[in-house]
Amino acid sequence: MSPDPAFPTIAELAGDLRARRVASVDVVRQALDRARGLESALNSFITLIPDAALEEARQMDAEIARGQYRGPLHGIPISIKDHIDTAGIRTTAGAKSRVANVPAADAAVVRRLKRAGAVIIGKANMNKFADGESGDNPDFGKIRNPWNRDYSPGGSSSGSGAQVAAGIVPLSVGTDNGGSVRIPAALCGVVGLKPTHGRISLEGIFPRLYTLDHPGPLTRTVEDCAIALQVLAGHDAGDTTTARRPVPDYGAGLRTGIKGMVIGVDRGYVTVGQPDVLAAFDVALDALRSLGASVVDVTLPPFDQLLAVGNTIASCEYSVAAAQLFHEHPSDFDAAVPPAASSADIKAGALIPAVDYIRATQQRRVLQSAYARATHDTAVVVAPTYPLAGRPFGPYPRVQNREFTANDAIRYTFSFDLLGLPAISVPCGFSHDGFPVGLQFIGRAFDESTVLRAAHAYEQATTWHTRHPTVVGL
Amino acid sequence: MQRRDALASLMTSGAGLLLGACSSPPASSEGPSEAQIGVLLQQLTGYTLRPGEGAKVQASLDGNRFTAAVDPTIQPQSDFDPDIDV
Repeated sequence: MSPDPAFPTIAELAGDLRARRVASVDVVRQALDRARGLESALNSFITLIPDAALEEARQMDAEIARGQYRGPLHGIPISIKDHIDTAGIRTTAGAKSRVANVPAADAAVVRRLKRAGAVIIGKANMNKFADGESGDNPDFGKIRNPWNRDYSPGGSSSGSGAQVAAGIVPLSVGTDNGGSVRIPAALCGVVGLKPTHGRISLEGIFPRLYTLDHPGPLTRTVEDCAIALQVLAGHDAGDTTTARRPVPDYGAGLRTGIKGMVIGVDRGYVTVGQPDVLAAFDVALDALRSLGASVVDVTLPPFDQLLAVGNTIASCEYSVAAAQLFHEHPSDFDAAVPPAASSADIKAGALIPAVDYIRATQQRRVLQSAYARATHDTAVVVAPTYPLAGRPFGPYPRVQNREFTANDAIRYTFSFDLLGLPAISVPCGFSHDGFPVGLQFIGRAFDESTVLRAAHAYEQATTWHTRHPTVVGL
Repeated sequence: MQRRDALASLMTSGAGLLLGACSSPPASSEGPSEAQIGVLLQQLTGYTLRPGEGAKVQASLDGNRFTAAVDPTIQPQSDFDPDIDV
C-alpha cells in the first residue's frame, strides 16, 4: 500500500528530509498545526512548545543543508510523555501541583533524542503520575481516543498513543510499568514497544516503580519503532540499572521474516477478553503460521502468581517513590481515578513489611526461571495486548458474563514488566464497532531484535497499520 | 488510644503487628479497629489516617502483601536483572 501523506512514517520522512525534498521546519509546522487543530478534540498535550520547536527545526534544516545529517530522527517532530524531564520545559507528571516544575536538565532519553536530531513539539498528557490505564487525568482532563472520542486511548501514556494515531507525530516516547506503552498502542491502533528492563535509561524520569518502569517508543510502524529504539537504547552512567550490553543494529534483521520461527502461545493464559479480541488473536495466529512460523503450546507461570508478586513490589516501590510527593501534596491522591493508587493505597504500601518485599523479589526470580524454562524452545511468545476493544471512561464493561477488573486489564501486559522482558504491541484488527485490537510479541531478555523481526513480519503481512482514524476538530 | 494499647489489642486478637494480613488468620473476625490502624500507621509510617480511611487501608494492605512461603536460599534481588539462566 502506498504511503498515506497525512500519516508519514519516520522512515518516509527521513528519506525526504535527508534528500531535502521537504524541510524540517515545514514538517514540524504541520505537526504543530495538527496538534493545535486537534487539541480540543483529543486533549492530548499538556504543553506545546511551538516557538522552540520551529527554531530547532530551522537548525536541523541548516545542518542537513551543510551535509551534517545525524540519522533518521533528524528533523522529525516528536512528543514526550510529561513525566520525562525536559530542560526549560515544565514537566508535570500529569499533576497541576507540579506545573512549576521546570527541570534544569533533560532526561537521558531526551538527550539521546536531541542528539539524534529529533524535534520535540510538546509534552503529552497522561494518567496522573503514570498510574493506571484509564486515560482520565483529574487535573488535565480526559484524553480522547482518536477512533472514538467517547472512549479512552488507554494509559498511562495516553496522549502519546492518541497523537501517534491521529497523525500529529510519528513518534512519542512513553513509559510502561504495567502496560502503559502497549495498552495505549493497542487501543489507538499503533505500535508500542516496552524494551527489556535496563535497555533504556530511566534517568530523569519521574520514578514510580523502580524495578518495573520502562521507557518505550510509540510509533505507527515496527520499522519506526526499531529506528527509535536504536537511538534510545544503551548504557547510561546516570542509571545504574541500565545494561552495559552492546546495542545491536535493530534494522539489520528486521526484514528476514519468520519462516521456521517457533512462536509460543499459552492457551490457558489467553482466556480473558471480549470475543472480538480473542477472535482477532486467533486470526493472527493463522497469519503467523501462514508466514512459516511454527506456533506451539507453552505453559507460562500462572498470572495469579505473577500478580501476587508484582502487586507487593509495585505497592512498596510506589509508596517509596511517592512519599515526598504525598507528604507535600496529599490532596493529589484524593481524586485518583481508579485503578490509580489512592491515599489509602499509599499508606497501606508503607505498612507492608520488608520481609514481604524481600520474599516477593525472591519469588520473582523463581518466576523468571519458570518463564525461561517454559519458553526455552521458542523465539517469542504471543498474546493479546489488552482484553478490551474500546476502553470506556469510568467503570469497565462486563466481559464473559462477569465483572471485568483492573487486574484483568493488565493481564496480558503486567507480567512482562515484572519479568522485565521485551514486548511489543502491533495492530491486529478491529472490533465490530471499529476499535483497534493489539497483538503482543514477547521475547527473551535483551532480544528486542527478534521481537521486532516477528512483529514486522506480521505487520507487513497485514494492512491494519495502514488504517487511520478520521478525527474531527481540524 | 495509645500506641501501647493498640499493639496489645492487636497482639491479643491474634492479628499481630500486621493488621490481620499475615498468613495466620486473626483470632478475632472483626480485625483491628480504625483507631488501632491509625495508631500503627502513625507510629510506623508517620502518616495520619483520615476518618473512615482505616477499612480502605486494611483492604489495600490485604490485597498487596506477599506472604507465601519462599525458598529462603534464593538470593533476593537487590538490583533487578531481567536476564536469567535457565
